[in-house]
Amino acid sequence: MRKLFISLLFLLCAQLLMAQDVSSADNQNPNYKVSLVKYQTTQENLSGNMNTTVQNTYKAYDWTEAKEAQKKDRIARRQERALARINNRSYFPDYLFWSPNCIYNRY
Amino acid sequence: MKRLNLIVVIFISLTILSCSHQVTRIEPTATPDINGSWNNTDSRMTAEAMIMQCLGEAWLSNYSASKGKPVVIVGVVTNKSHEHIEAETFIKDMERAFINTTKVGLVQSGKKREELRAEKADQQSNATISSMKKFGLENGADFILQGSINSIVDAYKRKKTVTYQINLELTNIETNEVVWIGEKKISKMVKN
Repeated sequence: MRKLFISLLFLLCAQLLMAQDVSSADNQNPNYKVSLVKYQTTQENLSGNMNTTVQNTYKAYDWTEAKEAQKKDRIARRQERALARINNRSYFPDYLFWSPNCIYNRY
Repeated sequence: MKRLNLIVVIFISLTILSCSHQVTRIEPTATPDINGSWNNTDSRMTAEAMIMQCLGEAWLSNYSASKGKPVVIVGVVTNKSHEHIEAETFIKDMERAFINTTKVGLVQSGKKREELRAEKADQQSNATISSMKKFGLENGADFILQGSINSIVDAYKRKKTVTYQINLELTNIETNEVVWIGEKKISKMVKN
């Protein structure tokens, strides 16, 4: 029993000495453990991107690209309209064919 | 008839030749600008400037004189420009310069470090005791290298100017003191 007590005491003293060693850096903030615990738990998430390039790009306005996009949109719109005309004969708006003498394409 | 055949053959061969895909080897140092985007030349120019600045400035001699060879770890580089730019192309050149000059030590970071630790963990149960590598004996870095890439685009009709600004920073891990900031600006005028 005595032996066990002595060994436990020795262990406690050693631990205290070690703890003192860690915290005995000159001018170290006594609350450093708060930060230590906080970052030890999130360390893996924070260091996962190390040695990589995080892409946080933005879209810059480019005149030629905008023109190209407009052109593509126009072509797509026309194609869509042409298809709609083929598939649906009554697609043509009435006003295009309206005439006081000739009324057709009415439902 | 023979003449017609010849014309047809010439026409077909010309068509095939004009459609064929052509690849020519060029020197990596002579990458031509094609559409004005970030390319190999920009990466090389950045690497050269950064290596020269980093190894030639006071932080290195100051640290070496008091504490010996500094050990650097590479952190995150954030690309905040309008293009996809991979910083690894010039960061690797820098790392190589660090190792080749033997003035700066380098430790692994990120996924590669995880891989190393996983291998070490594997050795604990699979390697012989004499060859097994121990945990807790890694070199701690003194400095962390972080960076950012920014760009400014000014475009009107078919003209465009692009300015890239690449910044790399070296920070003392213990004190958070920034000891070096490297900068490289690249400007381009593009006419479409």
